[in-house]
Amino acid sequence: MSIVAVCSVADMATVNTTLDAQGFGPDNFSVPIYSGGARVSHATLHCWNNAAFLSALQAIPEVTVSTSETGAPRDRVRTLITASGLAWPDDAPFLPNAGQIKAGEYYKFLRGLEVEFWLVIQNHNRSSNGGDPNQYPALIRQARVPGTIAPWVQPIDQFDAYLTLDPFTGEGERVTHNGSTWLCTQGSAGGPGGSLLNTWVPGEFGWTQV
Amino acid sequence: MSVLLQRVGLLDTVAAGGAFTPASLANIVFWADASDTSTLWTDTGGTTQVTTDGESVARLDDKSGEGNNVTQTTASHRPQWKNDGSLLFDGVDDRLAFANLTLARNIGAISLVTGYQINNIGRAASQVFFLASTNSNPNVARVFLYNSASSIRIGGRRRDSDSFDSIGVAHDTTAHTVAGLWDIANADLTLRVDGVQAAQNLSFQTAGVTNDTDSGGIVFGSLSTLNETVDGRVYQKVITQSVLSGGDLTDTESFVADKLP
Repeated sequence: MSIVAVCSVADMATVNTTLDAQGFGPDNFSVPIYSGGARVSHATLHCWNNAAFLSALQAIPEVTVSTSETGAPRDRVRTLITASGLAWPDDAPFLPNAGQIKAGEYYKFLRGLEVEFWLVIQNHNRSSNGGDPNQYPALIRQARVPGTIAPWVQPIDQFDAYLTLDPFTGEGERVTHNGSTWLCTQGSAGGPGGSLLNTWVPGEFGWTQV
Repeated sequence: MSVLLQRVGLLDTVAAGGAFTPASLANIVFWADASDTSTLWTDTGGTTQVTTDGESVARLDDKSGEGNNVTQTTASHRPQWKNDGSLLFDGVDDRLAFANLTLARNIGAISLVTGYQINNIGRAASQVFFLASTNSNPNVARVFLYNSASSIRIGGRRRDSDSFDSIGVAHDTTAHTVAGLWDIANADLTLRVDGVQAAQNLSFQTAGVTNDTDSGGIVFGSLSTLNETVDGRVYQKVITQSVLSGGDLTDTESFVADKLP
């Protein structure tokens, strides 16, 4: 028996705190899951045999639990995530160099040895819009991966503005820019979970060099 | 595995060395032996020993004598012990963490010899067996061994996050012994698979302009939660703060190989 579970990012901190208080340790839900946007919407976990942990999870109404025995752990996570209408970045295919791709699809893009995660925002054809996806900000945008520190990119709108409080990590988002690492500390109202939204260049407004 | 090593003359070294164990290596800082259940615990405090196939492992005691035990306080992140002498990582969120962040601190050399098996080589993601990060960037590896794009690779980055170098070779889903040798002081990065040199970079970057702080984190398995989780088994892992060579290297490779199925 092993356990797969999923909860929303909005509930994640409370759920993790509840599990920690029962002796199961911090940050049990830690794997980012998406639901059609460029930001993480849910978190998942897999746990090997642990009856007490299963009981604790089943007692939390905000958590969806599966104990299906079909397949390996990654298969079980994939089944639950798909059944919930969500997307697991680990499962996304590589961005093709040809052919049509559709809005709402997620792809991986290999930059050097680093794997990036991209969301298509408008249908387009990679045969005519191929190469580095950074060339097509109106067609495809890089999805945020909580806790990573990527180079700063000019946000297009509120959906990819930087957050002063990422609900997944509980901290402001960090970026690299002009050879330094910056922490997002100020912005405008309107972000998820009460976070502020920042579209300014690091060093100009709302960023602290760390 | 032993047949392969006999072909390249490595088992003679083991026989000459008698009861060789990695604990006898100079500069050893970590030795994980998943075949020794006296070093495996279901709790981080080390009160309940692992005894049964399938139990989750909360703590693995270091057999190097340096006390670099690895632990996991979070229930869902614990790997599973298998009675073939391995730790099975789920490829989702399993990992163990070192408490000693000075393990790979600004040193001129480090060696890692591990016995492992990966379930899915087609997965488009790194699977990190060992990673030392920096303080300024938790996702920048300094030295690590990983599987990416169907190859087993080792690589490194200067502590100031300058350019990253790596080398690798294609591999499969069977168990192997891999040795990574980071001779940072002499700009030499070498990868060995099953006792044979598989790749080398003789212009590997030197230590560069390093700061002198401890690593931000050192892990046995993935550091971050995306794209780097190990989907497979780890049988043995030996780390030294020196470049293993000669009999020390071949003895260690043979010892690890003999623990593989």
